[in-house]
Amino acid sequence: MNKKLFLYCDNQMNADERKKFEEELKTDPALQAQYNNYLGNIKKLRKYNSVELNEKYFVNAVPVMHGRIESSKHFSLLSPKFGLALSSMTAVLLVFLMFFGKTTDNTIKLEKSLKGLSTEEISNVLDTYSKNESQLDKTIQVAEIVGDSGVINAVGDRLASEIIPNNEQLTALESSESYEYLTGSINEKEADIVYNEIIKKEFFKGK
Amino acid sequence: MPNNEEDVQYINRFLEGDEAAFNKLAEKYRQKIYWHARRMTGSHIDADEIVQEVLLVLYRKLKDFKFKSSLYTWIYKITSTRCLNYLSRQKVRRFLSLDEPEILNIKDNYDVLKNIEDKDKLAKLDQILKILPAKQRQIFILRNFEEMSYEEIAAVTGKSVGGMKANYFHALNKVMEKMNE
Repeated sequence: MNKKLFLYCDNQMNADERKKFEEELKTDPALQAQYNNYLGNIKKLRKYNSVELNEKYFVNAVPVMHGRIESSKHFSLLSPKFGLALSSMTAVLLVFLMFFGKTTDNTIKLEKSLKGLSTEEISNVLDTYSKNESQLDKTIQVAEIVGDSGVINAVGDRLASEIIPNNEQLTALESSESYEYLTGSINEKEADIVYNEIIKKEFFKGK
Repeated sequence: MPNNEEDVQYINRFLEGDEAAFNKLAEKYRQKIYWHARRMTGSHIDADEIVQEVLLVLYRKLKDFKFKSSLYTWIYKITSTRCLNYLSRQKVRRFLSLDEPEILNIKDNYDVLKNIEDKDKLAKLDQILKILPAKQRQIFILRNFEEMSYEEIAAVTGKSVGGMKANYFHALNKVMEKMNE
């Protein structure tokens, strides 16, 4: 879209500029066509956006919220009871994952990127991946066991705040040439080895 | 945008313990919250969840509202943050394949729209908005559907007016390209 046309349509021109542009619009068929195209598309967007709602949904929104407030009074995220329950469940899950954890398709996909990198690069990537994936698994499983959507969201918020920056790093890694080259060049057995390294690194770190 | 006198009255009454005043505020803004969330996420179920989150935040934090901005701006700020947070979570889950595409489709079978024609229209809108990165989508929706000024959008997003204008230009270009396909 022509920048001047944008400024005109977006009301960012002063009176003189608008007048000058309107003159130009009259004499330039290509610009006129762009302008008509813009108007047509905006009209379509408005049409797509004008939909009729079932009012019953909105009537229920406030009572549902009050219901949530009531239930949250009985089970506060900040209560020592919840803290204890969460940490106990996390501990159980950690033990479970340590002894019964299996290689998943996700893990294989993630670890495919590791082959061929230098020791230092592998160490960096392992740190990032193991941190992300184990955190994600633990958090999601805990949330699912608790089974309360409020808890799932609260945990999810915390998870997002912890993971997003690392995920951006992962995206950067994925878009690098080495990732493109390495993806697909590892078999499941090799992926298993890398996966076990990650588990070891995560659960026995600092010991 | 200055504070609406009616809003100020409701807030004061609520802070004095009148629960009905909060319900009035919620009734007034719930559709705006829903539609912003719906356009941002493209899903009824997720928008519904965001409506609940935002109403809860309002209920709990209204006592901290300092009247420095309008309630309207504050509500959009909370809604926008929740939407971006939701989209970030969704991105992580998709990256790690925790949300299967089939499950995501099933989630949207239930809806609040009255007829098939409306569902079709909204599906088209979702397809168009989906091409925009989350933050551009946010600006595009606020500017184009909520008809906010750049100053209001800047107050909601906490970014500069200049940045908003540039982002809206890029978003509009992408939308036009998509619609001309």
